[in-house]
Amino acid sequence: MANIIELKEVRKVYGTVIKTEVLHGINLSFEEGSFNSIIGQSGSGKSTLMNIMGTLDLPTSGEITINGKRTDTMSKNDLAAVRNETIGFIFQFHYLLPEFTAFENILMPYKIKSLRSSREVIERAKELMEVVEISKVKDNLAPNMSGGQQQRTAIARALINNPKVILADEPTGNLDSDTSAKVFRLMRDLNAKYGTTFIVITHDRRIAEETDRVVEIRDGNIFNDVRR
Amino acid sequence: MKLALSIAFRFISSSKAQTLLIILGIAIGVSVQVFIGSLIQGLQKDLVNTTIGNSSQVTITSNTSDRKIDNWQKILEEVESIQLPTPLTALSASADVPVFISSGDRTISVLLRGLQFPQANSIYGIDAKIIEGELPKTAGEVLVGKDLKDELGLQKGGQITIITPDRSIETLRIAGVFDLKVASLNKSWLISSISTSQGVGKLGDSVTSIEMQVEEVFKADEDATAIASALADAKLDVTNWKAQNADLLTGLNGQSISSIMIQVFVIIAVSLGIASVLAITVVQKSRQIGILKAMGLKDSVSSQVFLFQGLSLGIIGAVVGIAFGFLLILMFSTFAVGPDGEPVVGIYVNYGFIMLSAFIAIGASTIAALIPARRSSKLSPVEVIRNG
Repeated sequence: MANIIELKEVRKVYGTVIKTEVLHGINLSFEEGSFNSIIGQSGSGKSTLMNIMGTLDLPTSGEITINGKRTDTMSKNDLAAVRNETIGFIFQFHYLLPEFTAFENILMPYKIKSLRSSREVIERAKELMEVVEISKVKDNLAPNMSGGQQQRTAIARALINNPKVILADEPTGNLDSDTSAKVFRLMRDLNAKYGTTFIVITHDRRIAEETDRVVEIRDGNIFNDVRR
Repeated sequence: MKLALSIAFRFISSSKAQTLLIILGIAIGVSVQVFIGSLIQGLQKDLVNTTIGNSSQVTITSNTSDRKIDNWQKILEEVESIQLPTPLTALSASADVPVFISSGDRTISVLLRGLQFPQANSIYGIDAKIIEGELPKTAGEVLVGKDLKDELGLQKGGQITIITPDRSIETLRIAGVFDLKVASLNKSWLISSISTSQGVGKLGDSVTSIEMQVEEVFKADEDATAIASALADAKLDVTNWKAQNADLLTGLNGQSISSIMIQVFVIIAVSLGIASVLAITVVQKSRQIGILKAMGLKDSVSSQVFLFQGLSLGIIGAVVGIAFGFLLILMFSTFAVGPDGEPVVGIYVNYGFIMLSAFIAIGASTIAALIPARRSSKLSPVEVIRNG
């Protein structure tokens, strides 16, 4: 399988007066369709790594290739398009737009891409809602849903544009263990069903153990890389 | 753009109290604009109308020693053919002769005004101001003022004896009584046909002035200049009301300037209000903006969201403000009335001015939204993600 994300010698330095290097030349790549996790203590640099992979943040030096395209040299607008079409985000906090209903939130990445919602995308949104089991709360505003429903809505939203890769930062960090297990199982099912690459960032070793590949980050370096 | 519009609308409708407050702010600003503007314009119109509405606005006089204009018929025709900056609404000749009325042991000085009827009616509206009798029809007939009639105990149909400038005595018949609502004129004018006064003053076929009114009174000076250069007669002077009423003009200008000042400050206050409320909204919505950008929303679209918020708040505020403004006008004209039941100040509703006020408010709202729009455009999604 081809690599969906490739990082070459990626460094990240924060601060201008007092410089702190949080990533020390990371070389890492992920295969298309794989289900991976990145694990590390808080402060290890795993979230910075995810933000850089997701083009939300720029590396201080190094090369990033997403879906065959160099992104470290792209303009802001091109990056926005890459994020919109190639990457789906799931965060620890659902980050749904509270002014919009579950259904509208799910459609939002599509609306950012193209002006009119086609019948296909509405069908797809309905299907995704079936899959993540939130059809009942379709027309609820984001704040009027339970934590699990919100996170599942966020997952459906991440998938609406059929992205190549989903970056999930502590996706179950805010949920109780039952809901957490359900959400995790859902992500695995979606990986199997749509072939979407998943990169799950977590500090929870038990969750990481469930994935096909565990990359451990310690103090801004790759400490361990285990494939099953 | 459609997406920015729909997000803007959703943001506006989701925080109702805030939206209501900002619309109210704009609306009050616009209503004050509309009301003050209409009031001041009404006041100015009233003032101009009372001062010069019933007098000559552009006047041709002779500067020769005998003050006579001989070829006045020709001049009338010429003036009529000139292409003027603002068209004339009235044009008539008059032959004025100062005379004396001897009453008992007193001698009163009055002005016998020989007017060209019916043309002079469009200036003085004499026909509407006759309270007794009718316009002079034949030679030797005059109208007397109400106050003069009371003072001298004159009667309609009676006789009045005058002493002409060359000390001859003439007797005229009183055809009626006028009331110009100005006591000094009611006391000092006698009105006759042009031929009567020409006869009394031994003017022959001459007149003493040619009087005009114009459509746009504030352009009277331009007309005067145009007429003077077209006639090109050194013996004739062309004067206009603006030159003769410098004080009134200064007053009117002062009023206009103070009205503009009020309006400018209202606009500034409203804009600052909008800018600050929208700036707060950007902070409130920074999480949403950040997440939308993470999902691929372009910076330009994220700033459009706030521009559209400013624009739509401006439009709604302007519409509500115009309604408030009309309500204020209605209340003013209903409650602020004089003893005669007429409003103390006639309000002039100028739709062009009201539309302008609305557009200025909408423009100001949109410009005020520029600052928050810029902030929104600069917002980096990673900050929102990192800080929760």
